[in-house]
Amino acid sequence: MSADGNNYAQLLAACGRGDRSALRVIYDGEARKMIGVAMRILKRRELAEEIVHDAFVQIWRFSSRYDPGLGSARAWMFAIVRNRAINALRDGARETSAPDDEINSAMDRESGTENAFDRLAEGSALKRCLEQLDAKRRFAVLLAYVEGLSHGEIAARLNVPLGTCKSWITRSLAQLRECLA
Amino acid sequence: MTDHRDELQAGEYVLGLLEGPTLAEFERRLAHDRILQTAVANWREHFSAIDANVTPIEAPATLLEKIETSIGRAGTVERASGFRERLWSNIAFWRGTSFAGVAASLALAMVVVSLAGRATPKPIVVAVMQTAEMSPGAIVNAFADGSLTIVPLKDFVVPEGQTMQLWTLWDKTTGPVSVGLLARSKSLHFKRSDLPRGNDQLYEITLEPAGGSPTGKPTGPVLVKGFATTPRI
Repeated sequence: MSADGNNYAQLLAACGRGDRSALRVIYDGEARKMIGVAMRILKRRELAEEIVHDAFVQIWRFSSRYDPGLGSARAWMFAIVRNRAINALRDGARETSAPDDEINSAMDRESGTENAFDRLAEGSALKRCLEQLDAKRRFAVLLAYVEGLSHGEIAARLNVPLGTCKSWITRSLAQLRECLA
Repeated sequence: MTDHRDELQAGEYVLGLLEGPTLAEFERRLAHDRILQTAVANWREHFSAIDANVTPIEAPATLLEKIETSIGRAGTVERASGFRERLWSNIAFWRGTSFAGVAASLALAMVVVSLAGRATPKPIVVAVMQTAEMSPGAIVNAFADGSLTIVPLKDFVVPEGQTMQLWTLWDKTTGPVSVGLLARSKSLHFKRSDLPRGNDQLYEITLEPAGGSPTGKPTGPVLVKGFATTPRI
Protein backbone atom coordinates (compact mmCIF):
# COMPACT_ATOMS: atom_id res chain seq x y z
CA MET A 1 0.00 0.00 0.00
CA SER A 2 1.27 3.46 -0.79
CA ALA A 3 0.69 6.51 1.41
CA ASP A 4 -2.33 7.57 -0.65
CA GLY A 5 -3.98 4.21 -0.23
CA ASN A 6 -3.33 2.75 -3.69
CA ASN A 7 -2.39 -0.88 -3.74
CA TYR A 8 0.09 -0.79 -6.58
CA ALA A 9 0.76 -4.51 -6.56
CA GLN A 10 -2.93 -5.14 -7.26
CA LEU A 11 -3.01 -2.38 -9.85
CA LEU A 12 -0.03 -3.90 -11.66
CA ALA A 13 -1.76 -7.26 -11.62
CA ALA A 14 -4.80 -5.58 -13.19
CA CYS A 15 -2.54 -4.02 -15.86
CA GLY A 16 -1.28 -7.51 -16.57
CA ARG A 17 -4.87 -8.50 -17.34
CA GLY A 18 -5.16 -5.60 -19.76
CA ASP A 19 -7.11 -3.26 -17.49
CA ARG A 20 -6.23 0.23 -18.67
CA SER A 21 -8.08 1.99 -15.90
CA ALA A 22 -5.54 0.48 -13.48
CA LEU A 23 -2.72 2.17 -15.36
CA ARG A 24 -4.58 5.46 -15.15
CA VAL A 25 -4.84 5.13 -11.38
CA ILE A 26 -1.09 4.55 -11.19
CA TYR A 27 -0.54 7.51 -13.51
CA ASP A 28 -2.73 9.81 -11.43
CA GLY A 29 -0.96 8.73 -8.27
CA GLU A 30 2.66 8.79 -9.36
CA ALA A 31 3.31 10.42 -12.74
CA ARG A 32 4.08 13.85 -11.28
CA LYS A 33 6.57 12.43 -8.83
CA MET A 34 8.09 10.33 -11.56
CA ILE A 35 8.64 13.44 -13.66
CA GLY A 36 10.23 15.00 -10.60
CA VAL A 37 12.59 12.04 -10.20
CA ALA A 38 13.55 12.09 -13.89
CA MET A 39 14.01 15.88 -13.79
CA ARG A 40 16.52 15.65 -10.96
CA ILE A 41 18.61 13.40 -13.18
CA LEU A 42 18.08 14.91 -16.62
CA LYS A 43 17.41 18.59 -15.74
CA ARG A 44 15.25 18.94 -18.83
CA ARG A 45 11.52 18.85 -18.58
CA GLU A 46 10.95 17.57 -22.08
CA LEU A 47 13.37 14.70 -21.57
CA ALA A 48 11.88 13.90 -18.18
CA GLU A 49 8.40 13.66 -19.68
CA GLU A 50 9.69 11.43 -22.45
CA ILE A 51 11.31 9.14 -19.88
CA VAL A 52 8.06 8.91 -17.91
CA HIS A 53 6.15 8.16 -21.11
CA ASP A 54 8.55 5.32 -21.94
CA ALA A 55 8.50 4.10 -18.34
CA PHE A 56 4.70 3.83 -18.34
CA VAL A 57 4.74 1.90 -21.59
CA GLN A 58 7.31 -0.43 -20.03
CA ILE A 59 5.28 -0.74 -16.81
CA TRP A 60 2.20 -1.63 -18.84
CA ARG A 61 3.86 -4.15 -21.09
CA PHE A 62 5.82 -5.88 -18.38
CA SER A 63 3.44 -5.47 -15.45
CA SER A 64 3.19 -9.24 -15.13
CA ARG A 65 6.92 -9.40 -14.47
CA TYR A 66 6.60 -7.52 -11.21
CA ASP A 67 7.53 -9.97 -8.47
CA PRO A 68 5.98 -9.08 -5.09
CA GLY A 69 8.69 -11.20 -3.47
CA LEU A 70 11.21 -8.59 -4.56
CA GLY A 71 10.01 -5.42 -2.90
CA SER A 72 7.13 -3.01 -3.29
CA ALA A 73 5.47 -2.27 -6.60
CA ARG A 74 6.18 1.40 -6.09
CA ALA A 75 9.93 0.88 -5.73
CA TRP A 76 9.81 -1.35 -8.84
CA MET A 77 8.11 1.34 -10.89
CA PHE A 78 10.41 4.12 -9.72
CA ALA A 79 13.43 1.92 -10.44
CA ILE A 80 12.20 1.72 -14.04
CA VAL A 81 12.04 5.51 -14.21
CA ARG A 82 15.49 5.96 -12.64
CA ASN A 83 17.06 3.31 -14.86
CA ARG A 84 15.71 4.89 -18.01
CA ALA A 85 16.71 8.38 -16.89
CA ILE A 86 20.24 7.29 -15.96
CA ASN A 87 20.65 5.43 -19.25
CA ALA A 88 19.56 8.54 -21.12
CA LEU A 89 21.98 10.60 -19.07
CA ARG A 90 24.89 8.25 -19.81
CA ASP A 91 23.95 8.30 -23.48
CA GLY A 92 24.47 12.03 -23.43
CA ALA A 93 20.84 13.06 -23.73
CA ARG A 94 21.38 16.03 -21.49
CA GLU A 95 23.93 17.64 -23.77
CA THR A 96 21.70 17.61 -26.80
CA SER A 97 18.92 19.83 -25.57
CA ALA A 98 18.74 23.24 -23.98
CA PRO A 99 18.56 23.52 -20.17
CA ASP A 100 15.40 24.55 -18.40
CA ASP A 101 17.01 27.18 -16.24
CA GLU A 102 13.89 28.38 -14.57
CA ILE A 103 12.77 24.95 -13.55
CA ASN A 104 16.29 24.01 -12.54
CA SER A 105 16.71 26.79 -10.08
CA ALA A 106 13.34 26.01 -8.56
CA MET A 107 14.28 22.35 -8.45
CA ASP A 108 17.61 23.07 -6.85
CA ARG A 109 15.99 25.05 -4.12
CA GLU A 110 13.26 22.61 -3.40
CA SER A 111 14.28 19.13 -4.21
CA GLY A 112 17.92 19.09 -5.23
CA THR A 113 20.44 16.80 -3.64
CA GLU A 114 21.11 19.40 -0.94
CA ASN A 115 17.63 18.97 0.42
CA ALA A 116 17.00 15.33 -0.35
CA PHE A 117 18.35 14.30 3.04
CA ASP A 118 16.45 16.92 5.03
CA ARG A 119 13.24 16.01 3.30
CA LEU A 120 13.42 12.36 4.28
CA ALA A 121 10.71 11.43 6.74
CA GLU A 122 11.87 11.67 10.34
CA GLY A 123 12.29 8.26 11.83
CA SER A 124 12.79 6.53 8.47
CA ALA A 125 15.52 3.93 8.55
CA LEU A 126 17.34 5.54 5.63
CA LYS A 127 17.42 8.93 7.32
CA ARG A 128 18.63 7.49 10.59
CA CYS A 129 21.41 5.59 8.82
CA LEU A 130 22.44 8.37 6.44
CA GLU A 131 22.69 10.62 9.48
CA GLN A 132 25.51 8.48 10.80
CA LEU A 133 27.64 9.13 7.71
CA ASP A 134 30.13 11.94 7.45
CA ALA A 135 28.37 14.85 5.68
CA LYS A 136 30.60 14.81 2.59
CA ARG A 137 30.31 11.07 2.13
CA ARG A 138 26.57 11.21 2.59
CA PHE A 139 26.43 13.89 -0.07
CA ALA A 140 28.43 11.69 -2.46
CA VAL A 141 25.92 8.86 -2.06
CA LEU A 142 22.99 11.23 -2.54
CA LEU A 143 24.52 12.78 -5.69
CA ALA A 144 24.57 9.30 -7.19
CA TYR A 145 21.00 8.46 -6.26
CA VAL A 146 19.30 11.83 -6.68
CA GLU A 147 21.11 13.23 -9.72
CA GLY A 148 22.35 9.98 -11.21
CA LEU A 149 25.96 11.17 -11.29
CA SER A 150 28.77 8.73 -12.09
CA HIS A 151 31.82 8.21 -9.85
CA GLY A 152 33.82 10.61 -12.04
CA GLU A 153 31.15 13.31 -11.95
CA ILE A 154 30.78 13.03 -8.19
CA ALA A 155 34.56 13.28 -7.75
CA ALA A 156 34.61 16.42 -9.91
CA ARG A 157 31.67 17.96 -8.07
CA LEU A 158 33.22 17.33 -4.67
CA ASN A 159 36.70 18.16 -5.91
CA VAL A 160 38.27 14.94 -4.66
CA PRO A 161 40.32 12.31 -6.52
CA LEU A 162 38.31 9.55 -8.22
CA GLY A 163 39.79 6.87 -5.95
CA THR A 164 38.73 8.80 -2.86
CA CYS A 165 35.21 9.20 -4.20
CA LYS A 166 34.93 5.49 -4.97
CA SER A 167 36.15 4.44 -1.54
CA TRP A 168 33.86 6.97 0.17
CA ILE A 169 30.88 5.45 -1.54
CA THR A 170 31.89 1.84 -0.94
CA ARG A 171 32.51 2.54 2.73
CA SER A 172 29.28 4.49 3.03
CA LEU A 173 27.38 1.58 1.54
CA ALA A 174 29.08 -0.80 3.98
CA GLN A 175 28.05 1.44 6.87
CA LEU A 176 24.52 1.79 5.53
CA ARG A 177 24.21 -1.94 5.06
CA GLU A 178 25.20 -2.54 8.65
CA CYS A 179 22.82 0.12 9.93
CA LEU A 180 19.86 -0.85 7.74
CA ALA A 181 20.16 -4.57 8.49
CA MET B 1 23.35 -14.85 3.30
CA THR B 2 24.69 -12.66 0.55
CA ASP B 3 28.39 -12.21 0.17
CA HIS B 4 29.46 -8.86 1.65
CA ARG B 5 31.00 -7.74 -1.62
CA ASP B 6 27.88 -8.68 -3.57
CA GLU B 7 25.73 -6.60 -1.27
CA LEU B 8 27.92 -3.56 -1.72
CA GLN B 9 27.92 -4.07 -5.47
CA ALA B 10 24.14 -4.38 -5.39
CA GLY B 11 24.09 -1.02 -3.60
CA GLU B 12 26.31 0.55 -6.26
CA TYR B 13 24.06 -0.94 -8.93
CA VAL B 14 20.97 0.64 -7.38
CA LEU B 15 22.79 3.98 -7.11
CA GLY B 16 23.53 3.69 -10.83
CA LEU B 17 27.30 3.58 -10.32
CA LEU B 18 28.22 0.34 -12.05
CA GLU B 19 29.44 0.82 -15.59
CA GLY B 20 30.99 -1.03 -18.49
CA PRO B 21 32.10 -4.63 -18.00
CA THR B 22 31.40 -4.54 -14.25
CA LEU B 23 27.78 -3.60 -14.95
CA ALA B 24 27.49 -6.24 -17.67
CA GLU B 25 28.87 -8.96 -15.42
CA PHE B 26 26.63 -7.89 -12.54
CA GLU B 27 23.54 -7.93 -14.73
CA ARG B 28 24.47 -11.31 -16.14
CA ARG B 29 24.54 -12.72 -12.62
CA LEU B 30 21.46 -10.79 -11.57
CA ALA B 31 19.37 -12.48 -14.24
CA HIS B 32 19.72 -15.85 -12.50
CA ASP B 33 20.71 -15.16 -8.92
CA ARG B 34 17.77 -14.81 -6.57
CA ILE B 35 19.98 -13.79 -3.65
CA LEU B 36 21.46 -10.97 -5.70
CA GLN B 37 17.97 -9.96 -6.83
CA THR B 38 16.95 -9.77 -3.19
CA ALA B 39 19.98 -7.62 -2.33
CA VAL B 40 19.07 -5.23 -5.16
CA ALA B 41 15.44 -5.16 -4.04
CA ASN B 42 16.46 -4.32 -0.46
CA TRP B 43 18.64 -1.37 -1.47
CA ARG B 44 15.97 -0.20 -3.91
CA GLU B 45 13.34 -0.29 -1.20
CA HIS B 46 15.46 1.72 1.24
CA PHE B 47 16.56 4.33 -1.27
CA SER B 48 13.06 4.74 -2.69
CA ALA B 49 12.29 6.78 0.43
CA ILE B 50 14.18 9.56 -1.37
CA ASP B 51 11.86 9.37 -4.39
CA ALA B 52 8.82 9.58 -2.16
CA ASN B 53 9.79 13.11 -1.16
CA VAL B 54 10.55 14.55 -4.56
CA THR B 55 8.75 17.74 -5.54
CA PRO B 56 6.03 16.62 -7.98
CA ILE B 57 6.04 18.28 -11.39
CA GLU B 58 2.75 18.74 -13.16
CA ALA B 59 2.46 16.61 -16.27
CA PRO B 60 1.16 18.15 -19.48
CA ALA B 61 -2.42 17.08 -20.22
CA THR B 62 -1.26 15.32 -23.37
CA LEU B 63 1.14 12.92 -21.59
CA LEU B 64 -1.45 10.41 -20.45
CA GLU B 65 -3.00 10.51 -23.90
CA LYS B 66 0.36 9.75 -25.52
CA ILE B 67 0.97 6.89 -23.12
CA GLU B 68 -2.43 5.40 -23.88
CA THR B 69 -1.81 5.66 -27.60
CA SER B 70 1.56 3.96 -27.18
CA ILE B 71 0.21 1.15 -25.05
CA GLY B 72 -2.56 0.67 -27.57
CA ARG B 73 0.17 -0.31 -29.99
CA ALA B 74 2.32 -2.04 -27.39
CA GLY B 75 -0.71 -3.91 -26.08
CA THR B 76 -1.22 -5.51 -29.45
CA VAL B 77 2.43 -6.42 -29.71
CA GLU B 78 2.38 -7.98 -26.27
CA ARG B 79 -0.61 -10.17 -27.00
CA ALA B 80 0.83 -11.28 -30.31
CA SER B 81 4.28 -12.09 -29.03
CA GLY B 82 3.98 -12.10 -25.26
CA PHE B 83 5.79 -15.35 -25.01
CA ARG B 84 8.69 -14.03 -26.99
CA GLU B 85 8.93 -11.04 -24.69
CA ARG B 86 8.95 -13.17 -21.60
CA LEU B 87 11.78 -15.27 -22.93
CA TRP B 88 14.09 -12.35 -22.70
CA SER B 89 16.00 -12.20 -19.51
CA ASN B 90 15.24 -9.15 -17.44
CA ILE B 91 18.51 -7.57 -18.49
CA ALA B 92 17.11 -5.94 -21.58
CA PHE B 93 14.21 -4.95 -19.42
CA TRP B 94 16.25 -3.06 -16.87
CA ARG B 95 18.47 -1.55 -19.47
CA GLY B 96 15.40 -0.06 -21.08
CA THR B 97 16.51 -1.51 -24.36
CA SER B 98 14.19 -3.50 -26.51
CA PHE B 99 14.86 -5.16 -29.80
CA ALA B 100 16.83 -2.27 -31.23
CA GLY B 101 20.04 -4.17 -30.59
CA VAL B 102 18.79 -7.10 -32.61
CA ALA B 103 18.19 -4.90 -35.62
CA ALA B 104 21.69 -3.49 -35.31
CA SER B 105 23.36 -6.84 -35.07
CA LEU B 106 21.22 -8.25 -37.85
CA ALA B 107 23.04 -5.84 -40.14
CA LEU B 108 26.25 -7.56 -39.10
CA ALA B 109 24.73 -10.96 -39.76
CA MET B 110 23.75 -9.85 -43.24
CA VAL B 111 27.39 -9.14 -43.97
CA VAL B 112 28.47 -12.55 -42.76
CA VAL B 113 25.66 -14.20 -44.67
CA SER B 114 26.34 -12.43 -47.92
CA LEU B 115 30.07 -13.14 -47.74
CA ALA B 116 29.40 -16.79 -47.14
CA GLY B 117 26.41 -16.83 -49.47
CA ARG B 118 28.33 -17.14 -52.72
CA ALA B 119 29.71 -20.62 -52.17
CA THR B 120 27.03 -22.10 -49.92
CA PRO B 121 23.25 -22.42 -50.10
CA LYS B 122 21.30 -19.47 -48.86
CA PRO B 123 19.77 -19.80 -45.39
CA ILE B 124 16.02 -19.68 -45.03
CA VAL B 125 16.30 -17.99 -41.68
CA VAL B 126 19.10 -16.38 -39.74
CA ALA B 127 19.22 -15.72 -36.01
CA VAL B 128 21.68 -13.41 -34.36
CA MET B 129 22.05 -14.60 -30.81
CA GLN B 130 22.95 -11.91 -28.35
CA THR B 131 24.74 -11.99 -25.05
CA ALA B 132 23.17 -10.64 -21.88
CA GLU B 133 24.98 -7.39 -22.67
CA MET B 134 23.12 -7.26 -25.97
CA SER B 135 26.20 -7.75 -28.08
CA PRO B 136 26.14 -10.28 -30.93
CA GLY B 137 27.47 -13.61 -29.65
CA ALA B 138 26.73 -16.14 -32.38
CA ILE B 139 24.79 -16.55 -35.59
CA VAL B 140 22.59 -19.47 -36.63
CA ASN B 141 21.82 -20.08 -40.30
CA ALA B 142 19.05 -22.60 -41.00
CA PHE B 143 18.92 -24.07 -44.51
CA ALA B 144 16.19 -25.59 -46.65
CA ASP B 145 17.64 -29.12 -46.34
CA GLY B 146 17.14 -28.95 -42.57
CA SER B 147 20.76 -28.38 -41.69
CA LEU B 148 21.96 -25.56 -39.49
CA THR B 149 25.28 -23.85 -39.07
CA ILE B 150 26.34 -21.97 -36.03
CA VAL B 151 29.03 -19.30 -36.21
CA PRO B 152 30.26 -18.07 -32.82
CA LEU B 153 31.30 -14.41 -32.84
CA LYS B 154 33.22 -14.53 -29.60
CA ASP B 155 35.18 -16.92 -27.42
CA PHE B 156 32.90 -18.45 -24.86
CA VAL B 157 34.56 -19.84 -21.78
CA VAL B 158 33.43 -23.42 -21.28
CA PRO B 159 34.48 -24.69 -17.83
CA GLU B 160 35.93 -28.18 -17.41
CA GLY B 161 33.22 -30.83 -17.39
CA GLN B 162 30.72 -28.64 -19.22
CA THR B 163 29.59 -28.04 -22.78
CA MET B 164 27.60 -25.54 -24.74
CA GLN B 165 24.27 -26.74 -26.05
CA LEU B 166 22.25 -25.15 -28.84
CA TRP B 167 18.47 -25.14 -28.44
CA THR B 168 15.59 -23.98 -30.49
CA LEU B 169 12.06 -23.21 -29.49
CA TRP B 170 9.07 -22.66 -31.75
CA ASP B 171 6.22 -23.79 -29.62
CA LYS B 172 5.54 -23.13 -25.97
CA THR B 173 3.96 -26.50 -25.29
CA THR B 174 6.78 -28.46 -26.91
CA GLY B 175 9.37 -26.35 -25.10
CA PRO B 176 13.02 -25.94 -26.16
CA VAL B 177 14.41 -28.75 -28.33
CA SER B 178 18.11 -29.57 -28.41
CA VAL B 179 19.87 -28.97 -31.73
CA GLY B 180 23.26 -30.23 -30.65
CA LEU B 181 26.36 -29.69 -28.54
CA LEU B 182 29.28 -27.33 -29.06
CA ALA B 183 32.43 -28.18 -27.19
CA ARG B 184 34.18 -24.96 -28.14
CA SER B 185 33.61 -21.57 -29.78
CA LYS B 186 33.97 -22.87 -33.31
CA SER B 187 31.68 -22.98 -36.35
CA LEU B 188 29.67 -26.15 -36.57
CA HIS B 189 27.27 -27.72 -39.02
CA PHE B 190 24.31 -29.71 -37.69
CA LYS B 191 22.41 -32.09 -39.95
CA ARG B 192 18.82 -32.07 -38.78
CA SER B 193 15.71 -32.50 -40.82
CA ASP B 194 13.15 -32.58 -38.04
CA LEU B 195 13.19 -28.97 -36.91
CA PRO B 196 10.99 -26.17 -38.15
CA ARG B 197 12.76 -23.13 -39.53
CA GLY B 198 10.29 -20.37 -38.92
CA ASN B 199 10.46 -16.68 -38.43
CA ASP B 200 10.57 -15.63 -34.78
CA GLN B 201 11.76 -19.07 -33.76
CA LEU B 202 14.04 -18.78 -30.73
CA TYR B 203 17.60 -20.07 -30.70
CA GLU B 204 19.72 -20.09 -27.59
CA ILE B 205 22.92 -21.57 -26.24
CA THR B 206 23.15 -22.68 -22.64
CA LEU B 207 25.98 -24.05 -20.57
CA GLU B 208 25.27 -27.66 -19.64
CA PRO B 209 27.07 -30.59 -18.02
CA ALA B 210 29.39 -32.48 -20.40
CA GLY B 211 27.31 -34.73 -22.65
CA GLY B 212 24.42 -32.28 -22.69
CA SER B 213 21.56 -31.45 -20.39
CA PRO B 214 20.58 -34.49 -18.30
CA THR B 215 16.90 -33.52 -18.43
CA GLY B 216 16.60 -32.89 -22.16
CA LYS B 217 15.66 -29.28 -21.43
CA PRO B 218 17.99 -26.35 -20.72
CA THR B 219 19.25 -26.40 -17.14
CA GLY B 220 22.23 -24.05 -17.19
CA PRO B 221 22.73 -20.32 -17.72
CA VAL B 222 21.85 -18.86 -21.11
CA LEU B 223 24.95 -17.59 -22.90
CA VAL B 224 23.24 -16.11 -25.96
CA LYS B 225 19.83 -16.05 -27.51
CA GLY B 226 18.06 -14.58 -30.48
CA PHE B 227 15.11 -14.90 -32.83
CA ALA B 228 15.16 -16.08 -36.41
CA THR B 229 14.41 -13.72 -39.26
CA THR B 230 14.22 -14.25 -43.00
CA PRO B 231 17.33 -12.72 -44.53
CA ARG B 232 16.79 -10.32 -47.44
CA ILE B 233 19.23 -11.92 -49.81
